[in-house]
Amino acid sequence: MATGASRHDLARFGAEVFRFSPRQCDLMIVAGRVVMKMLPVLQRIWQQMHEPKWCISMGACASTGGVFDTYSVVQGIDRFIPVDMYVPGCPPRPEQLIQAILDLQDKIQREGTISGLEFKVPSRQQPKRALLELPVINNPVAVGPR
Amino acid sequence: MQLLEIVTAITERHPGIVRSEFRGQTRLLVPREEALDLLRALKEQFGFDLLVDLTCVDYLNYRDAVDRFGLVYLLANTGLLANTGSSQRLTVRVMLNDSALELPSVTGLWPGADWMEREVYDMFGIVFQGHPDLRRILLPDEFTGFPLRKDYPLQGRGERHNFPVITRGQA
Repeated sequence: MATGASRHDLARFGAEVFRFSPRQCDLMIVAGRVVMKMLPVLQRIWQQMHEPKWCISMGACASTGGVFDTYSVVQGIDRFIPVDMYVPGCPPRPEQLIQAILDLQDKIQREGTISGLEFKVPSRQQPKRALLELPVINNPVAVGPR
Repeated sequence: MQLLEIVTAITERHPGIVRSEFRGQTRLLVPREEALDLLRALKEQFGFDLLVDLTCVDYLNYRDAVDRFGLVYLLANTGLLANTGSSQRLTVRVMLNDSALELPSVTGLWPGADWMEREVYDMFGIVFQGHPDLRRILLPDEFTGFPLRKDYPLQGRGERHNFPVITRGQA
């Protein structure tokens, strides 16, 4: 919510329009615990989305189950649906989610949508401009060894 | 009628009922055969018109415990304001064991017991006789087992992993 609101303003990076129908979406952000009763629903939502589509697993709970190591909580949605980006954190900062969306845009730019063949040209193999221009990415002191 | 008088009248009428006090709270330990009659009397004669909560405790491996399950009925009298000195609240306990895990439903007395009894059935597997619609309420219908029992493994019996895997190619 904070990511899309005015303080962090996801629209600056070309991703803003939230849709509440899976048929109008190309990115699913799974935020929070997924219990075994809801996992078939999540899988159905994923199957209702049209290609091309991507998935972000946001937060420790969606990625691994987090502290909820119980009978009812799925221990990571990537066991049952494909995941493109994982956002660590409990909860993640809005900056982390923005970074994940930028990284996903970079991944799409390099790999393409379905087969990726249409993007196998040298000009598309460059990192996304927003990633190069964000100072924290090119600063090894701030980021550390990658 | 004061709570003390009520409890005294009840224990005189039903000698099998054990009364105890803890930090100002009065508790009655009731044999399961007398439970429904006592709860009906509490509602209709003594004015406990609100079933605050109905829940269950599994005393498996509990220190000094004799019986397996303890059903807890928390009753209140809404005619007397709950936060005044004259408030009347009462805890009724019924102990159950594995040999007979059923108890008469109190939905006829307090309609609000409906979902509470369904939850106790869902989590502990205790059958309430005469319940109008005794189904699971939280867990999916196809779930087997009763997960709040102490002998149920915390990480389950694989139900959290028992799903088809959707791959990128299928989607």
